[in-house]
Amino acid sequence: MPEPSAPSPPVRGGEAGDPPIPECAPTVTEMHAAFARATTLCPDRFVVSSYRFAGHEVRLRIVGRDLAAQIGRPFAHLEINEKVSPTTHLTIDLWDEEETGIPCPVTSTDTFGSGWTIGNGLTTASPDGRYVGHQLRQSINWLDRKAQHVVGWTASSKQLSLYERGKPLHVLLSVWYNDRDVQMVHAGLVSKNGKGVLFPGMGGAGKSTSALACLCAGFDYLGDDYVGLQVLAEGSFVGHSLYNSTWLEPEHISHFPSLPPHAIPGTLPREEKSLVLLSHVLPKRLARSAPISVLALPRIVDTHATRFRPASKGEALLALAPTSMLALPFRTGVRGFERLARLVEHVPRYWLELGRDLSQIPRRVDELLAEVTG
Amino acid sequence: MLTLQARFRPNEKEVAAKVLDEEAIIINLSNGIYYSMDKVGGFLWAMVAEGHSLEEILAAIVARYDVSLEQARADIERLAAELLQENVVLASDHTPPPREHPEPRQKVAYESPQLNIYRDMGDLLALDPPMPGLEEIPWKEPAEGSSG
Repeated sequence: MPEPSAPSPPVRGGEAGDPPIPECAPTVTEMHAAFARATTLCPDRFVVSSYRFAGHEVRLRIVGRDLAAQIGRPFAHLEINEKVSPTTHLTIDLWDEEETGIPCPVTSTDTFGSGWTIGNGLTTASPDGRYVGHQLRQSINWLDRKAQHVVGWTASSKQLSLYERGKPLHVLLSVWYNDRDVQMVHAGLVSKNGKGVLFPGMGGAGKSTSALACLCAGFDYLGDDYVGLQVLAEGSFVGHSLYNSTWLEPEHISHFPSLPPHAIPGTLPREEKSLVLLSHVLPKRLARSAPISVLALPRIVDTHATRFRPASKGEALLALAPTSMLALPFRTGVRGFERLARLVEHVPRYWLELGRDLSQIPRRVDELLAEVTG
Repeated sequence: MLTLQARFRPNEKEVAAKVLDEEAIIINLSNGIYYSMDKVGGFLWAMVAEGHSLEEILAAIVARYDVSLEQARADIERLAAELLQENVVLASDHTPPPREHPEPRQKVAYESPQLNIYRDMGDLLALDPPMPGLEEIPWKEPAEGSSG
């Protein structure tokens, strides 16, 4: 049966029109061809949306309405309703096999004979570094760094893990961001009146608690575990929101009662925390970017009160660098370390000692901002 | 066996390091172990990074800090051995230019330098070896408005 010709796909806020399939490795070419077949066979399931990631225009084209909804939600606060310009900096093409009937043309990302296990997935790269592939349980995605194009397959949106639903394409986007000189760092970030407070720290330090406490008290929220760090030409620092997701830990449930009703529980054995998409809870308090005015290093202390005190540059670098450089999917090396060192040298830094009364956190952060910005 | 004529250089292939207000923060990017040294330790690392011999470092420390020659020598040899063992420094035969730092008017109080070693990330990396950093791509355009 001949395949029907595809009408123009429904587009929100942009112009229909496909970028040419880039000349690339055979595996990735097959993926692009499969995506094109999916768009042709299922034009009614083709969803296009536009975003701004760290100031760069991104176009998301997904065949599979459920998949589009799942992938789009963590980025909802970054969506734009402008016409897609010719200078799109990243195109992401994904299709859902269950919704389209188009299987993945490749069985694994192990095309180049080498791979690295990162978290639950396998990552590989071509010898020249142009192509980076990431494979999870039920998805395979490829990034072409030259063409700035992601193409990917998902077996079924219903089988996405909580991690994939909360941080879609995390590994590949960490590479793409780094190529744009935006470094993923392990930190929370909130802002008030356009002034950002970065909460760097190891797991369990209190980053999420601090960020969520501030969000619930009226601060703008940009992230509670990973944000993008950029150094501007004049030497100032900007933090970029990557996702609007947060993971709810058991102790958060009682402290932040507005969040649990929106919690999405995990279903897999390792999914102990629940996912909350803050675009469902407090959409107007989600910010895209904020200049970083102060570093607040959270540390849980056995007191009632929360207070802050100056931190040394070395202490700040020790709180920020190890996990930002070693625990993230993409290693930024010495250049990334130098960038973090510049941040702690030039931005005021304080310990934020978190006492048992979490309601004091936003007040202390307010005072901290007043202290550094005058 | 270490001699005072020994020189070292940071293992730049695997290590990133910075001294900030006499605090040295060192990260081994290949195995995830990271280190800190402050005060005398930070001063010592700065001199090691410049390529000075242990003898030159000893002379600078004794000139700057209120410490006996014997104590300073013992601490320097101990710390150098630790840094070598951790593969944070490598032997070097490069001789740097003479160090020109003004001596303080009054000697600074001395504390034996300690190499603080943190292995928590190293355990994590043992489970998930690092993905090599992808090289700068030759076609990359400089990011607008960014200074890297």
